Amino acid sequence: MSNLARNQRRNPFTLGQVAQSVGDYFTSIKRYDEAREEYQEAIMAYNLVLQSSSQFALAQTQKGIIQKFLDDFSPLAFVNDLSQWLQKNFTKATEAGWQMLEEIFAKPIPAFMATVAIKRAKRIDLGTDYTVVLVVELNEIENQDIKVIMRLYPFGEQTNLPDNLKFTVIPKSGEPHEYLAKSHHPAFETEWFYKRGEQFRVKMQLNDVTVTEDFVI
Amino acid sequence: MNPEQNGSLTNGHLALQYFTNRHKFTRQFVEYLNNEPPPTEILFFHGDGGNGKSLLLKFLRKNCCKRIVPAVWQQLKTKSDDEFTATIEKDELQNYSAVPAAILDFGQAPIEKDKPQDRFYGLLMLRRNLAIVASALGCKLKFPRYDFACVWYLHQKGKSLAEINRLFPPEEMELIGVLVDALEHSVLANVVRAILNTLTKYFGEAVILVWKKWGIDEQWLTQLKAMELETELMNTLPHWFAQDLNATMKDDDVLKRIVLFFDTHEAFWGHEHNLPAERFFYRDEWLRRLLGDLDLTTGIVVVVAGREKPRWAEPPKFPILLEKVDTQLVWHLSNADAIVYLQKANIADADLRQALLKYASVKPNEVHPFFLSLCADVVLAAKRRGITLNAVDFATIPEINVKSLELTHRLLRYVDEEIQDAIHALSACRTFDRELYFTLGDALRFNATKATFRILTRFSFVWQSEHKNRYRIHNLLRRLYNDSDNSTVNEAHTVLEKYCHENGDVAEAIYHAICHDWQRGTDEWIKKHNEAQQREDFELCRILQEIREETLLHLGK
Repeated sequence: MSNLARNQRRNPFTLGQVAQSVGDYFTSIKRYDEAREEYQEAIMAYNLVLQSSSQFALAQTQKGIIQKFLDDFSPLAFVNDLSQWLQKNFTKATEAGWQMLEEIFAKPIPAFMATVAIKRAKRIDLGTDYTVVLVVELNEIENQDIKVIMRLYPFGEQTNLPDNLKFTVIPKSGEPHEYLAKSHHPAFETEWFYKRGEQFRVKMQLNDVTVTEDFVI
Repeated sequence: MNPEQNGSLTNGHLALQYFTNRHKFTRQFVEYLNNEPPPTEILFFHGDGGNGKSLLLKFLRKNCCKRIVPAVWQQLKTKSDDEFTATIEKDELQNYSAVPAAILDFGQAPIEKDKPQDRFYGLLMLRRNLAIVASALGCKLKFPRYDFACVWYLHQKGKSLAEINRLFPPEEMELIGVLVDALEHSVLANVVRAILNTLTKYFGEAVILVWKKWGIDEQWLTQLKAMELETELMNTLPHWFAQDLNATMKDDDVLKRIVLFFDTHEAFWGHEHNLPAERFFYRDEWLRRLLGDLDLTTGIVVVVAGREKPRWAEPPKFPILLEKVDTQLVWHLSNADAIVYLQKANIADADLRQALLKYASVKPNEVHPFFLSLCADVVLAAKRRGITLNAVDFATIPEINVKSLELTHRLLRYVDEEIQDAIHALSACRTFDRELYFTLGDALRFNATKATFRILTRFSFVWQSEHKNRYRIHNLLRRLYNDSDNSTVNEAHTVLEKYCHENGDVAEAIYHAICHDWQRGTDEWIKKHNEAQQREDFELCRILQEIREETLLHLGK
């Protein structure tokens, strides 16, 4: 109910404080995606505070605090802990949207049929028109190394990956490896070897939409 | 029941007497209760506001929750839709057993412990509602893991035994007392052992074995104890609720069906439907978690009503596949059904009926049920004042978006000025009862009596809440009066802010403050939300966030 509030002047600085406060709440309950959206709304509101306003300086300070927080917590907050997967503990993974393959794919995927490896899949929205599925498969091999196979599949009615889809694997220390999905290919696959404790990031990019997933073994 | 003597046609219970059409939906619902094996889709009714979805749910709940003896069911299935509904509705039916059915209406404003949208209290409300309907039919539903986890959570949050007991059905009081006692008299390290020892002492080994069968053992309790309250435990509650209900249905040889109704699904988003994805999908995430974990093959029937089709297949977290949802569009009434409705409402003049039908139409052969019932209300209200309205009185038809207002104004012409003032004042309330009505009458100097309250609560735009003795003015009307800078509404918000403060309802007081003094109210909101967040009073945070949606504390709104 909008009430009389609609007829009164709504101060953007105050609306920024509201969004920032709710962002803090979401951070407290570890709902980082929702927190990020609230903080972005707060920044937009603070941007509307006029330079002539007595609240301008305070708005700039709050923006700085939020921006630093977003930069700081972003890479670590969303990390997928694959060591938990290896212990068959998928509680956090499920929270983060990882599902069993049969929950996502209508038909079994041949590449996974013969394997008993640990694997989970997640839908990745690359804009409003295109969704892919990222499948991560883990195999424990000798010397405590872990083989990580990552595959991308089209989702829904799409049969092929889009031509200009970029897939980049970025180790915590080291050079990024960028791949371009092959034209009219139904899937993309890359295989990596990691030691326990190592971190890496995966970046999927289609046109101007980028989605990242962070992992630790 | 004669509407000429008893008031409104659309008012909750009365409206059911004139329930028209929807035969197809009635049949479909009854099939969900009687076909074998049980259908495994969620039945979702969607359609425009005022289309009668809530009334449909009420009708199904009151008249159609029947499990029919197979032989009779086979015969009934062969009947036409009209005959089918008539048989089900009119108690002509023999040889059936009543099916327990509970409802959670997300549109109901939070009242005390009843907060239907809240991810913790909403689920608890459903649990209480289920216990009430089941016990009325002589069944006892068990939610051992869910109850244990809730008691653990509430105790950890510092709630007293009395506060905890109020949240649970009375039959669980003994168990909860024992559990809280065990929690209070144990040191943290030994809490699991202490709980088991105390439960054994009170209830004996046999009961402990039963609980083990339900999955409550040392390992489970240890897992519960290790969970973070506001994240892991809170997120797992719908899962345990579903698992407990699934287990009950599997174990119970007699209970073949149970129905969970959810009304006003769109209320999760208030007036804010353009939220970014994460926040949009977060709102009803607990409901998706619950529905996704219910095993519908056991005979659990889920019926949801909402304005829009659910976007449940879209969220990356806890999606519900499209093929799992049986969406049904609840559309407007046909001309023929509208005429039947008006005949049932004792409007004998055929020309007048045609005029009302035309007035309430939104397209050819599509009559808006809420407009139609308001039209009928106007005619009957005038009749009670000795005025006979004719077809010419409805010859001028306004634009669709002002029809409700125009009809309400007409309706108010036939009531006293005192009652008009009362309606304006009450439209400032999110919900009200008789005490609040008298308080407003005293403060705003209108004549509030038991008799006027009775008249008032019979209007079509005054809806009785599921919560006993609570009412609310239709949102459409509230918005109209609240936006019109009406001095009575303004004064009412001031009175209500003070009243809520005196009664310790901080959040509701802030709501009224925002309504009549945006800057002061919003500053108060920020202060209280920050304080609540810092002392981890997330319950208050969630209540304040609902108020944020209601008062549109968003950028660009």
